[in-house]
Amino acid sequence: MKFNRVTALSLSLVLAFSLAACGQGASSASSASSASSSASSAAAESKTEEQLLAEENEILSANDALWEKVFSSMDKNVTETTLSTNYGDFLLNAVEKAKDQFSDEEYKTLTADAEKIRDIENQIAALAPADAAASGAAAQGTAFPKFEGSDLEGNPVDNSLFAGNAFTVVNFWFNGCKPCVEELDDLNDLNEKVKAQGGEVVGINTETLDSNQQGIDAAKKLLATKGASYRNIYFASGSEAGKFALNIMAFPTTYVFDRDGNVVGQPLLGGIDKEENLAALQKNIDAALAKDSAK
Amino acid sequence: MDKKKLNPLARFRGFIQAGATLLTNIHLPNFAKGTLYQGGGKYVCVPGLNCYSCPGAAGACPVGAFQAVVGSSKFRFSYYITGILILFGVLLGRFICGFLCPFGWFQELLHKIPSPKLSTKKLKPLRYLKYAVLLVMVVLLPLLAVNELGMGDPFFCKYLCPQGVLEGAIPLSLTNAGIRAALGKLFTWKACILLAVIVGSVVFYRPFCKWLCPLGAFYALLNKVSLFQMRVDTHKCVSCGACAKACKMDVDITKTPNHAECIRCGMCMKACPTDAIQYKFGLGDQSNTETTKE
Repeated sequence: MKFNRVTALSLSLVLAFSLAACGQGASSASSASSASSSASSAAAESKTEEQLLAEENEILSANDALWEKVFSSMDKNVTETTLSTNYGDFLLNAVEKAKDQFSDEEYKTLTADAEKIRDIENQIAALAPADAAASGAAAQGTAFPKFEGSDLEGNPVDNSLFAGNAFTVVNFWFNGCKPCVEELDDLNDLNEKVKAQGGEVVGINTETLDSNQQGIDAAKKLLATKGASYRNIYFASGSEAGKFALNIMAFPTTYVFDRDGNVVGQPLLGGIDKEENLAALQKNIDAALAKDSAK
Repeated sequence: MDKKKLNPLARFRGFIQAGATLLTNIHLPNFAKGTLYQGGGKYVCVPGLNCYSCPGAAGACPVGAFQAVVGSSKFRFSYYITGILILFGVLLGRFICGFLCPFGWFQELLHKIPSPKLSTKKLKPLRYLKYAVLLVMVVLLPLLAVNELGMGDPFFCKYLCPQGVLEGAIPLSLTNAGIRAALGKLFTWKACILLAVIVGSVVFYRPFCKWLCPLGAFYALLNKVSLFQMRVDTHKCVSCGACAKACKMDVDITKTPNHAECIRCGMCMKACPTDAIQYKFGLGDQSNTETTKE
């Protein structure tokens, strides 16, 4: 009997916690998302990176009050573009902008801190490729893996695809996925619209990988029915790019990549035939455009 | 607890349930990683109601897989999954509900939380609701409510299934920012259903199994013909009514030993003062075959 009570009590506690955790996650989703994703990816990677990150935090907390001032002066809208730039550079920039708020002495310590962080970031960046190859989850990292494939008509395509565009919207889908198929016409509209901005929409259908003829025929049919004429590409499923595509668990998922093939913002889950999803994707596109024009 | 020689299946039912839940969701590290197992095991269905999108899931949910196939433009009916379900049903029937289903176990654990317990005897008509869920949400709507390309939605999974929220949406959204950002009204609605089932399970015994579960409904249809049966020895029975009182699924086993609602939990066997109730597995006449040792 006592055992029953204990089980009951612990179960109810677990339930209460899980609900609390879930509620919090949902309410602060947008603000927490970048923080938690970086935390989880850090956990997946080697310890040295954790130590490096800890060092960064120490540097920042040593001059806590000063840095608080810098952070509060920052423009909140640029955070999405900064995800793929060196954090140290980003801090230097911010310090530079808020220069008039500090004395010379303070300015010097801040720039020195930021430079230290830039060095550490470079060390972390040097670690990253090894980790990305080691674990599949990390393959969904910040850049689209090197690939050589072709479009559904058989024309060869490779990573130079990204360099040719200011930004590339990559939509992952498969033939049996209803929400994926239902947004194909919207993606086509988007492709027509972003052409003028130097952007392109590209589809990757996971059933067409390894030039699976059945999958390609079905995909072509669906694209034709939905009046979608933008490029759809495939490559070998065993390649890094193939792993990237097959590691995606929710369809449709839509990424925005910059000219260098780096991910911009958070990938979008869900079809852009829904207004809020299209708005979320547009945010990523705007961030990519801003980044490209800043170059 | 009395010292009767209770059938080991009934005696260790809680452990069997825990073991089945663990085996059904064996890919435990995926919970921390927030990823799904996508290997060959997912081509096979597990017997119980267990979401495909649970990070730990070893196989596919039969109800989900059925809807996915029926709702696809390529097929009208899923012979493969229906076949597996009939096999499970004929072999074990609702024994699966009582022993192997993770969501059944979840509800039972919740029922252990001390609270006033309410009888469901007067709510028997609600039992038929689950057959409607099976027919309408699992078969008809995915088959008929299709877009111009012949693709339907998995209506039960999408709009009703609380197990999907518990095992899929909640653990995945905790570790995956993209999924967290995608949570919307549908998640809120299904979280409310889950909450209702949780609260309901504390005061009622297995409310979801009794009233809503389409998988339970399917196995219920096969319960009478399944190889796993209950046998009441009329010579030993003293008609005391203890079994009917003990039954939390509201079955009078002496009258209908293989009632569609019987989940073979064995509570009647525990309650029986004369050991008149036994499990029986296999073919043959109920009164003559000796399959369980006394």
